[in-house]
Amino acid sequence: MNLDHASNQAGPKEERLARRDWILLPLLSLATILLLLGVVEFFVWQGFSPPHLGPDAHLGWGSCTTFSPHTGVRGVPNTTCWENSYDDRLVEYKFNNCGYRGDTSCGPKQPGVYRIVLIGSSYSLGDMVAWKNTFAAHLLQELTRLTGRKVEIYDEGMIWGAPHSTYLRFDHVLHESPGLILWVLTPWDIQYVTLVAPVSIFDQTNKAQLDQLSPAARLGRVLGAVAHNNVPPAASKIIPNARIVLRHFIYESEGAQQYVQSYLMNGDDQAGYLKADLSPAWQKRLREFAADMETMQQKVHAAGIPMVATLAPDRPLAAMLSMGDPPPGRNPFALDNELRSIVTTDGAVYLDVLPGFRPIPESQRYFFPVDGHPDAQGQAILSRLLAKPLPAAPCLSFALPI
Amino acid sequence: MAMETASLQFILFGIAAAILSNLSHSRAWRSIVLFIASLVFIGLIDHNPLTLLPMAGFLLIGYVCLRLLQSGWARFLAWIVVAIIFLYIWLKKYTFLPEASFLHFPYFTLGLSYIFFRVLHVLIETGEGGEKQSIGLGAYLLYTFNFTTFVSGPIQRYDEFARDQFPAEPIPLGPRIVGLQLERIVRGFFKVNVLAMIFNIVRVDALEQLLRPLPGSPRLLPAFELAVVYPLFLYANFSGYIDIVIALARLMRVRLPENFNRPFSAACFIDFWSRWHITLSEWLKTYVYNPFLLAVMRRVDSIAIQPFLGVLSFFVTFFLVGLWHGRTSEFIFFGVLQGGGVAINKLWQVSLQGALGRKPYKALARNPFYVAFARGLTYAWFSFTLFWFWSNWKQIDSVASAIGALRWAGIWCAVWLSATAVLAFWEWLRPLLLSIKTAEGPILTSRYALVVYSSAMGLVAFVLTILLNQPAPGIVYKAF
Repeated sequence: MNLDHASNQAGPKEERLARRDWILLPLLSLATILLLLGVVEFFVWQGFSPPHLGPDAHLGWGSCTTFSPHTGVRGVPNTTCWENSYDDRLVEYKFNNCGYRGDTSCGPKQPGVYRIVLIGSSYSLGDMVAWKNTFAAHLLQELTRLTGRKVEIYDEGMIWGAPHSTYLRFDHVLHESPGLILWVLTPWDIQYVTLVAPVSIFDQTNKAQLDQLSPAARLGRVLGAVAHNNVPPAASKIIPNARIVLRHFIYESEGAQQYVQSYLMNGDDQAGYLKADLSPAWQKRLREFAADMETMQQKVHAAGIPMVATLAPDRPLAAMLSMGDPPPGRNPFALDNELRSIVTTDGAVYLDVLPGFRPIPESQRYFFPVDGHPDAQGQAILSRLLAKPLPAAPCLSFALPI
Repeated sequence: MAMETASLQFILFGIAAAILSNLSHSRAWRSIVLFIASLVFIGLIDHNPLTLLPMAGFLLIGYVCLRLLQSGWARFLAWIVVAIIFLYIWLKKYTFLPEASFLHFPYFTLGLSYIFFRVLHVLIETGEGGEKQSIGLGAYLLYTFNFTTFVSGPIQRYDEFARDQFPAEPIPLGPRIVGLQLERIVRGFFKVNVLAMIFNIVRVDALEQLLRPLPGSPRLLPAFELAVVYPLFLYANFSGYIDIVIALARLMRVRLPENFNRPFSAACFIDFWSRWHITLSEWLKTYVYNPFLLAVMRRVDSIAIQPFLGVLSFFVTFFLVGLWHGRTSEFIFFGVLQGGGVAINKLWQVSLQGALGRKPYKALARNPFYVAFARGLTYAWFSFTLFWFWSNWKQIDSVASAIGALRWAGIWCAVWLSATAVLAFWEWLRPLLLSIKTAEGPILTSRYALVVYSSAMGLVAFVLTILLNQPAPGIVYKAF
């Protein structure tokens, strides 16, 4: 206050600034800024660097996944890799002899076993959480307990497993002789419905997809990629990692309302699924999904295999559900309603899990703040919401020991 | 455009206006720049000129009344004051007036609370013969409509404004003063956009945890956080904004009065209000407390009762402080609590002095333990009263029911004791830090130290502002 008062009330005689201060003060300011940036970046690197894994362990997806334009991304059989992120630490991904994530081998179905093949993208894979904490692992235990039957789950979920990619390897899914095909969809799946190739946004092979988007949508995807450090390796070394950590803490600390407001700053390409009236771009994506779904459903119908689909919320959707009253012009159930209509038209069963998130206060806290995938608790919630209605769903051959 | 808050846009706008204003020392030029900048500012906040009509009408009526008073109608001052007060209450739609009487179209009222004080001030000073100089329409509009004080004050006296705005030669503005104002702007921006944001996140989170807790989460900690944090948020938010506008005005060569003076160092609630929103309490002291006290003292002969008249005057004055802040019953109660707090404080002082005697009472008032506990109690009481400032009856009921009356009593005791300890520590630490000196003064307030703080604060505030204005990401996979 004394200094403020003095500077505010200065009279006619005023102290001149020494000549050296004209150079010293700006240099001091610059040094302070650089030092602060350096210290923060240093502590972030120290705090979030992956532990040493050993010579045979692999950090990153490159060694345990493979890509083919005919099937999309698949797991390489009998491999293990690790992922490190700012939201959580080291996560192990072990792929069995068939290239599915899990801790059991795959093979011919044994008598009396009820086999569920789980398909979809990273949610189905259980991205960012240890296998034992995934909803697939929880679901296995829950269904075994509820039905009294021997249940096994083949987790064929995969990162980059957008609907069209899933469609491409669907024959392989049928070949596993499932008693049930369970498809856990997410808003991301519909946003990237035709995606097959797992390339960086900066890669030329992704150019065709980007060209279809509006300039604003293209910029949104580029900024989103930068936000996740999804940039060419050389760029990743110079873009500060502290900003990702800062965003982690910002989104982690925000309540549902504040977080939803932040998310709704995204354009229609990213956040359009939360609108009450879906835009033409989202309607087009739904039609593309419906086309693949129709073909897949014809195949399962011919094979006599029931198929169940559901929409699991991402972090923004979970937050909006927890809010109770959504912002004007928004409807957290808009995409859910459209998907239900498509799935049931084609004869599959649709399970509603979104209402189960409504009574959970601040349910977005069960999702990683920057990454958006459900954490271990979020996976458990999803598993509970699926396990209860699944055995009682129509056309399923579960026998409930009620 | 977030022009009405302490945003980057507002700061850049203010700096641009200051640069333009300083292109000439001519008072006409400076006044024209200030006037146009104020018009542009209002226009950027509200694009529809029709919604500004009621406010324009209020200002016009105020000016007409001013001219009447200047023309010798001073005997009608009381009626004019009552009319202006009524007009203000009506435009602000205070809920004790009938709903049907209000204007039923949306109109602009941001800043009206402060314009009200400025208009009343010039009317009273003119009517009582205090303001000798005739105030023309231009000067009146510049004073009442000044964009630097428009939204949230400070409430400047007209004579002080005229002293700086209208002299032939403006007050000096050298590099050192410019540097201090820029540093103050950065500090204010940091307070509003970082500190206040953090405190608000804590408050909103605590409220959500209290009303809809996560399974297994305790409620006592969120209750404590909720009880403690709002004064900190309000101080960071309000004083940060004041820092910015005072600095911007100083860059335009106008010295606005200070509005905060380390309020949490206050040793009692009366002292608190001489350190918090100083210009508001000064205005009410001048135009409500002093006249009211004089009026009641003239009517009451008993010397024994006279100290208690001070108590009554405090209650009335600070009840109006509360009432001025809002138009609903919550603010009426807020006023009761403010008035009650100050009145009880005065009553305590009067009673204690009566019981102990003058010298022992003064000795007690200097006792560090007594002062520390009084300081903590002041903080706790202010925080308690603020529930009726930021909340509503329904939410207060839910908050109260969340842990029950007994636990809330415990929480408030904990707030009192924690505030006592923390503030006592700070009062001990602050002079110690300031005692580290060179010949030029304390090292920690030297211009080199200020540059370091403001660079660090500026960087943090800038980065956070950028990050918070970016949309939250959706799921984006890393590449192979």
